[in-house]
Amino acid sequence: MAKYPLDLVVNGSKYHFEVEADLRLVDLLREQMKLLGTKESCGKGECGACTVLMDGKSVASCLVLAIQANGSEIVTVEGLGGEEALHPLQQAFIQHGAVQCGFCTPGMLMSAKYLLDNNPRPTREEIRAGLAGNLCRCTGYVKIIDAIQAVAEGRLEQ
Amino acid sequence: MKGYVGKRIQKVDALDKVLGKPLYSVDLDMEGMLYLKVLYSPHPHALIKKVDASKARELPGVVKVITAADVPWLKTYGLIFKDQEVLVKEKSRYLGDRLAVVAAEDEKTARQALKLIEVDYEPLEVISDPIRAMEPDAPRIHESGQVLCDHPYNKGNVLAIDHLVKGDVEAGFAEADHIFENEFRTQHVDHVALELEAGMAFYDSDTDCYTLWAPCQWTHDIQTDVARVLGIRMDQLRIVQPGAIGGAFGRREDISVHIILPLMAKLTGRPVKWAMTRGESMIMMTKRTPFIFRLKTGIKKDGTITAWQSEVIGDSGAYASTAGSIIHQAMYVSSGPYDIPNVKGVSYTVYTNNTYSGAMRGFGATEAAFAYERQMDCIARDMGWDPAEFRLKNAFRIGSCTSNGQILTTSVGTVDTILTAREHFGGKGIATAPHKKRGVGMATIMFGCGYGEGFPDHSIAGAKVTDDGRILISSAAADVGQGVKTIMVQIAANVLNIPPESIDLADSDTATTRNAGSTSATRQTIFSGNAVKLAAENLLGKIFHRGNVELGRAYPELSTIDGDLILHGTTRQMSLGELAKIARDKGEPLEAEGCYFPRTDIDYGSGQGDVVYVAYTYNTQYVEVEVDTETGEVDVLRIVAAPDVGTAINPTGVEGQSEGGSVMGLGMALMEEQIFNKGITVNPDLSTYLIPTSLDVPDVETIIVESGDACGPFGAKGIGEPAMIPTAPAIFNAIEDAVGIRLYDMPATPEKVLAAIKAKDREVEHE
Amino acid sequence: MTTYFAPSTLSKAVAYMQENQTTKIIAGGTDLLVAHYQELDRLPGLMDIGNIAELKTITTGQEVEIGALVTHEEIADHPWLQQHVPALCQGAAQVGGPQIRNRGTLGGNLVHASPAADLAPPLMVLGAVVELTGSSQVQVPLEEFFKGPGKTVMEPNQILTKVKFSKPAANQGGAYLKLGKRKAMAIATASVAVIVTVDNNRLADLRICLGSVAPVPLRAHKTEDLLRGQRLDLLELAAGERQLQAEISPIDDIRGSAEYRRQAAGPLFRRALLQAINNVGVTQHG
Ligand SMILES: Cc1cc2nc3c(=O)[nH]c(=O)nc-3n(C[C@H](O)[C@H](O)[C@H](O)COP(=O)(O)OP(=O)(O)OC[C@H]3O[C@@H](n4cnc5c(N)ncnc54)[C@H](O)[C@@H]3O)c2cc1C
Ligand code: FES
Ligand code: FES
Repeated sequence: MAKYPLDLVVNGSKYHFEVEADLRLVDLLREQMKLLGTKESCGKGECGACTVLMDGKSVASCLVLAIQANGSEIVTVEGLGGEEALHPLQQAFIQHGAVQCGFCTPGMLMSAKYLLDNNPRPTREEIRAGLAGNLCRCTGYVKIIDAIQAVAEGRLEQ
Repeated sequence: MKGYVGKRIQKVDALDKVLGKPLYSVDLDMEGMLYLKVLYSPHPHALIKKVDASKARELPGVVKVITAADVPWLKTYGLIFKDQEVLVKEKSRYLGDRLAVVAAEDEKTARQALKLIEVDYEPLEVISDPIRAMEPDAPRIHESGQVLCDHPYNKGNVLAIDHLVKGDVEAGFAEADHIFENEFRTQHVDHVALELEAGMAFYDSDTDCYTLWAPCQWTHDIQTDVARVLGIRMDQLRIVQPGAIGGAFGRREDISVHIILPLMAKLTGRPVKWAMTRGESMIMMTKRTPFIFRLKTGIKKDGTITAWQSEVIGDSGAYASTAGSIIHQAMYVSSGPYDIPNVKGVSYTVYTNNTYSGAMRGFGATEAAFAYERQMDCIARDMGWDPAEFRLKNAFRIGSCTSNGQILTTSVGTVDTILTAREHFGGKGIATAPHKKRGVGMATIMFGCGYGEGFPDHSIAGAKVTDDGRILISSAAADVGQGVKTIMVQIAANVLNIPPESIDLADSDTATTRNAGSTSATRQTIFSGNAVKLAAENLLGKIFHRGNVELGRAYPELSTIDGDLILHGTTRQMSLGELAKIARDKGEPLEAEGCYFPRTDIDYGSGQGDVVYVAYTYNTQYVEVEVDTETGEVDVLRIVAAPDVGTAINPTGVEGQSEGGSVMGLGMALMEEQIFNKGITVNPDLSTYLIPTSLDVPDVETIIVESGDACGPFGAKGIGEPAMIPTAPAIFNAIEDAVGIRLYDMPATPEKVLAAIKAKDREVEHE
Repeated sequence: MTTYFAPSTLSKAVAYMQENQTTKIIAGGTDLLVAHYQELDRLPGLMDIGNIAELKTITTGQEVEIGALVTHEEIADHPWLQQHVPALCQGAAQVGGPQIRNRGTLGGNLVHASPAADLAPPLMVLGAVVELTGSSQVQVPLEEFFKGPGKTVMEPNQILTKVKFSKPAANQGGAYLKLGKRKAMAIATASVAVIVTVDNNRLADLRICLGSVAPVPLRAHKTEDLLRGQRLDLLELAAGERQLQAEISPIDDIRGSAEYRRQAAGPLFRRALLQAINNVGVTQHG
């Protein structure tokens, strides 16, 4: 089967793969790179669990072919912050009880990062709009929005 | 005594989760693993004439294909009645029945192989309406000679008929000045846990043992059923909960991947993995039971309810699962948290060819509350009562008697939650446009925690001090996201006076943990919470005993502080680790167990008992809506919730349940419905089955009511299910308040709301 | 098995399509990957046009040109477009969620030809023309472009390269409103775009286009005729709504019944019309 060269940067490191055309970005990340933080819950762009940043923009990695990411820079939840240096959003999600089952959490964090990168001081309504592509069945969104607002307003407990 | 209890302790698994680290079932893999795909029935009700997998078997990369013919020895399964076949032999009863399983080197090949399997079938009449199913000439979905025929009420497609009799309902109606009769309907709802059904299994031929990694709400129960189906001993099957579970909401009580995985692991001799797609999951797995409630209520002029009668029909779908229990429980509670002397109920559990119904958050109580809180609201409105006052007039108080005949002696929060929610809510705001109207609605509910009804419901937990001085709690209680792990740690920390950071939780594994019962029925805080509390107390006793012996001082002079055993008034102390080593060397390790096993009872003939449930959680919600009178759109602007949880072990956790539950209730009220067209799922994906997004929900304000004094640890009760129950009826009541339309069926889609508004406008014109 | 080709220029893409007519074009992939979910390996070949820079530009001025690869997000956030064609930006801003808007393109939205496509009605009332490039280059008015759900006039070897329209005049205003079953991530149950020309306190001209009420985005000519020329203070709004409801023939589907669509389209149109009138002038400074 024909394979195509793919060069990309994932979480700051360069990678080279030979991939089939029908491989999706979510499969590349999860199956080939074992970056399992990125989740799949619908495969059709509806839930946002697979959200990653591609050249700074949030995308549903289930709707991007891996080969379409050629030359791109990808950031997944694993690239957001480590245990020692949590990203403020990660801290806020913990502090505000924004995590229940956690399956939506990586995607939520990536959408939140995209939102704040482009609009550092969003209103509560703007936060809601920024999360509209990410479903959460556990939290009712309230504490997720609280957490993002806390980061935007610099209200994180140290 | 509050140390760590009542505090907003951070969830013990939150750090890993924000890092994306926990391995959910779908994240698992093993060297040499095969991938499974399943062929489902092409028709919801058909005789299966032939399943020919020969072409699929020839496809390179395919390792094994099985049909029912290959595994004739498999037994049937099911949570209560064993009426489900792993692979159907002669007949399909719904669209999610399985005809074949493929194991292949990769998923793509497995998918291709499915397309090569040929099926011949003869369609039968599809029954998707329970009313049709109950007609005498309706074809039977399960033939006689089926596993069910020993059930006393089993006739035709009616799987169960249950009764409730309290007082004399006819006398009650005779006493009444007004009689109100209404019919309410609820719909099929999907759980939409974000994590799809998946798992992995491994068979060790040397030991003839199976290991299964797949999420379960109740590992030990699934272990029992799977072992029985496979014809193996329980100890040959080990079930390990994956590192995290991505939501459950009742769906993970039922068997999904749990039989096929170990079966195929053995048949192929290789590790196997099966991960469902959203479409598969929606078609194959359980739904919230759709109901018809016919309610009749007798009222005196002064607002006293004298009699309540309920006829309840529930659509079990193609299989029984727990629907029989769900449906009779819905009937039992369908007169709400109101003290009514005369209550009568009957419920019918009916098979159809729809996807089968199973547990979903509320287990019948959610649907019943929609009916009784609509009924109460309609009555209040028609009699000119303030809705809260009318409820307060009839509300449960200490000493009230439930419809099941249980006298409530403690922790009764109906009145408190109504008053709290009402006060916090204040008044309604002003509509934002001329074509919009605002309304306020309320609903108050009760929920019996635990299995109750005489079921031998219990939970066992262990606690021990490890050599490094940490505490290890072992419990099989499934944390599906709701946070029972955190609660257990807090409780142990509180009892042992040790910071939560020093407490670890053992993996939930049937080989190493004891039965903790199900993460359902809003029972884990009470049951596993109590079990952990008892285990920790027993452990503390052992610590004190050993300390007494080793330090040579009496108990009152000892305390545990931050992981050390301290001798008061001296500098002498000993770390728990040291103590544990000494204790172990002396043959008395610092290990203890706790078991919570309360008694409940019921007489199924009358539905009456003394202690039908160990505790009841109460919850009142007020909501404000704005209805667009031209498009029928309903905007929920505010939800104020006042749940009575006895004691909030972790207020953040309680709020989290309240918020998530309310939003699930909002989805059910306004948009969610799994639609079946002659048994065929019309909307098996998330673009047509809609759940609320962040833009559809308001902020939920939760004011926790702590009536204390419940049987759970530190006076706690559960919150998981009751969190969602009042929301849907409160929204419907608010819609009626806003635009004066009386809706009886969920969901209130813009379309239904607009049609009702138009119908009302026409009526007004006619007058 | 699926082949993949990602040309860097339009001419290479055009040449490739002449040779490989069964190849599917992929842009953002947000429709294609959904349509072929779990069956991507059955596609014969894919040509990814994502690297073709010339399809990514927005040219503003008297004549506006938007390249086929411009994403919904880029349209929604474009300051000049926001000012001059707010209806188009409203359409783009209401597509899916952020992740979909970051990938989904103008070209894909039109070629996919969903009756609910959110960019079609606003572009239709702007009088947009699409440029199709194949063995030759042709300009097709958007009104003639759609042939049915998923069907357009395009030949298999053509690429939609850009969409063109004239900048609305100072006395014009537009609006786009969408009705869905929830507030985000919802395919339209019904949608309406309106552009008005106001002259001397009269509705000198207007164009109305509805989505999701017919197999293709539908112009409501009779309603336009009814209201054209009316004085703004004497607009026969109720008659306009009724005419519009009479003029459309929606169908029942999972997103709504024909009856509901008809009923809701009336007020939706009225609101869009009033918003469009409100937008006259407001958006024209600068
Ligand atoms: C979750 C979700 C929500 C959505 N919500 C909305 C919504 O609210 N409103 C809405 O309108 N749409 C919605 N969509 C649909 C979709 O996002 C848009 O239609 C998008 O604009 C399609 O663009 P694309 O670049 O992703 O198309 P692709 O998927 O790349 O292509 C779509 C089709 O067009 C062809 N094609 C693409 N570009 C060209 C070209 N330049 N020339 C020739 N052929 C071409 C492809 O071959 C394919 O057949 C949604 C989709 C998803 C997954
Ligand atoms: S898995 Fe990609 S959006 Fe749902
Ligand atoms: S925390 Fe479970 S889906 Fe969001």
